[in-house]
Amino acid sequence: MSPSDDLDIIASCAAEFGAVEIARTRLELKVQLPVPLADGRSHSYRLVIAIFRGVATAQEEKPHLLPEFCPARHINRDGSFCLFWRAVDDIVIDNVSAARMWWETLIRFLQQQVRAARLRHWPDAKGRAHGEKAAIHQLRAERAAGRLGAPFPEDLADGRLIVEVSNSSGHGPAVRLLHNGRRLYSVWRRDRRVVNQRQPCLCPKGAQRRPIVLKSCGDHGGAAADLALELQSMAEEERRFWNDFESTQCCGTMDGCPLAKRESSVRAERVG
Amino acid sequence: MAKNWKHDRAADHIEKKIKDVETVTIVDYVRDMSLENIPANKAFRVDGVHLYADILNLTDMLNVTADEGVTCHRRTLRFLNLHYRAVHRILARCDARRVDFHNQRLHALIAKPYNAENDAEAKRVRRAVAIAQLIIDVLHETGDDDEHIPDADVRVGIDTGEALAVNNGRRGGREPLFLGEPANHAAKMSGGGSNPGIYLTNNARLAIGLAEAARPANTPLTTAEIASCQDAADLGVSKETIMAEWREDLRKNPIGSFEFSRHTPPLRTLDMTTLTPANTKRQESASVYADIDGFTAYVARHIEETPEDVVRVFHVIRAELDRVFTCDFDGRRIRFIGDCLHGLLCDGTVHTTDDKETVSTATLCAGALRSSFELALEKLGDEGIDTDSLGLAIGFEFGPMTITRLGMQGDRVRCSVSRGVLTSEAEQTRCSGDETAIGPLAHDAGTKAVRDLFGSGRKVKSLDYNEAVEVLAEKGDDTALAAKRAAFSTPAIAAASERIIRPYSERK
Ligand SMILES: [Zn+2]
Ligand SMILES: [Zn+2]
Repeated sequence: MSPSDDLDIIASCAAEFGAVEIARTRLELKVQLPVPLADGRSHSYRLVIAIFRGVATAQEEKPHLLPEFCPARHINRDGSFCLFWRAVDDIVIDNVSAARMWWETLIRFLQQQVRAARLRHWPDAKGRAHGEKAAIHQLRAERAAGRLGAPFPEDLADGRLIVEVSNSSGHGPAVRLLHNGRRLYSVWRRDRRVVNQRQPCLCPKGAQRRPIVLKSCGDHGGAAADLALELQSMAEEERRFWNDFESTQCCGTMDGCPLAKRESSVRAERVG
Repeated sequence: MAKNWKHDRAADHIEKKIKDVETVTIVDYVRDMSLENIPANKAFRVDGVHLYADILNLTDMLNVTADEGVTCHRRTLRFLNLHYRAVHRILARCDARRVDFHNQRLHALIAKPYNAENDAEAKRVRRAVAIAQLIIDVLHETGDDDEHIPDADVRVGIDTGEALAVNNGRRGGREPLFLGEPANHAAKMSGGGSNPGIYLTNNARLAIGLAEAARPANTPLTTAEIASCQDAADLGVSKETIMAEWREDLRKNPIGSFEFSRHTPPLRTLDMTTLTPANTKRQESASVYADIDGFTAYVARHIEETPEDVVRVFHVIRAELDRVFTCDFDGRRIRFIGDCLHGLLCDGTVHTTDDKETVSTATLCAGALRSSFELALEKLGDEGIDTDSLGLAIGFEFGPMTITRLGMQGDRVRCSVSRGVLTSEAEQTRCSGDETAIGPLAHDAGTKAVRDLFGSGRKVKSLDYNEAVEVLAEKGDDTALAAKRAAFSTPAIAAASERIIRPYSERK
């Protein structure tokens, strides 16, 4: 299909989502999109929607309600919204239901932006990690959490799991997994195995009267090691991701954003 | 119907309320003026002495039994009723004005002698001290051994200065409400410790020639200091007279026993004027306190030059908070205590309260109060009215609550007291102007979504209605899901709002 056919499909669903078409070229669709919120407010965005290599992108015509660039708010350097990770969640606009899914994603993205601006952080922990390499480690960590079973997937999705590197020994450095700041277990990085294999398993079997130890609980020892190590790798890749933006500043609307620090110091200088 | 908050509904109401107070009159309060039935757009600047008397052992009363059952509430209400009646006698005899009695705390104003008289302020403070001591002495004997009702231990706080008297926001509510430092600081003195006695702010100490105290809330008046105030004030009524009148009154108008029944939710439909000890409501509910943070400082900043803005800001915010609580969430407002709203919410049936739903509703309501508060500030700001440094601190708790009216026939005072009421107030006081806190029992009774939201610290920042609905609905809270569904009339938008998205970030 040609880009213009794809654009037709997107345009055909615009009205049901309340979008009003402003202009249209072969490659671009300009719309006015009101985004209602749960409290009855509605912000209206003027958006440019384009088809690029089979994928629809959207951005504000001019940065008006959103920052022009902010990785923490999932807005790329070119101003386009980073709605999903193509490698896993791609939406190919080749039929109406895909187009609807894309519109729903866009609208939800804009609803979440209002929450993010107020909270000064992304409203849920469901965002993909920053950058492809980090996102891959995150995906592997999520799979490992799934192998361990409840409550690990939810704890991970809610941001309750954190890792830190502890001192090295004969086995090299270890990675510690913390739940709400409390240590659950440590993993030898080089050997990719849990330090104390004899600790009760993290699943319900480990909480029985005669607990099954990690080592003997099926795949759980391996899953626990993977979870911690993948989270650690993800954190390292995210740090690299931010370092790549060395000279870049962003909006300063998000707490803890590595790019915002420079912004606020610049602002302080201006005020001073 | 789902209880909810809508931006446009709030905006319309706020705009109407701003119109109410386009023109505001401020009058200096002098002899023979009435402080009753003050119109919404008028205030009196009252130079007077504010007296707060806290009954310290109310908490003990509420905790005499392990369970907060019927006996516990019956005794507590009887305890308060006996003491309220005695205080009523004292204030009537001493020409002091009762502003309010909420739970363990009496607020009274001593406005006489007026400033036309020489040395009027010192005379008022001495008079207040003498009245305070009379209250302490009388309440030390108004218990009832037969009914396991102890005497009351009382701690009094006193401050003096200018405050604004405004309408109290209740239809048919005659008593004024006072805004400003003397009311607030007197309350801080009475609430600022657990030792009985009479505590004056440095302001009040200086007015009667006492030295400033380094820590006035830890410096009770000495017996000699009190005696000299009593001599100077010469109240002309003794403890014995008051006790005799009080006993005579009890004989003629026995309190009767407290009979409890449930009100079929919502509590909004409860007509408080029908309540008496024999018709007292008692049920599991949520108690909510919402306090305008920074308002006392705001009044102090404006009372001389622009007191009109105090009346405007207060009228608009209060009316809007009241509307949200009552109309949007079907709650029962108990009262405004200065700049603070106290009310109760209950979901369920005539027989049982739906604990989870009640706590979820209270959470959404807290968010809605903040949304309306912020919108009110925005619209007042648009009118060029200063709203700097104002915030809203919200606390709530869940548990068995009582609602009744106490005191003398013809002059009954609303009362809603329970452990949960006291906890909700305490939760509110540990919040800054952008925080909402939940009490431990509400936390336990709430859905998992509610518990996750408030976390182990039981407190959350900048929770508005949109955020409350979203964050609870995300975790499957039924009350929030219903509110969220009702918010989106277009099916496509409703579907979008339920989609879980995983946005990404690229290097490009
Ligand atoms: Zn296991
Ligand atoms: Zn940014």
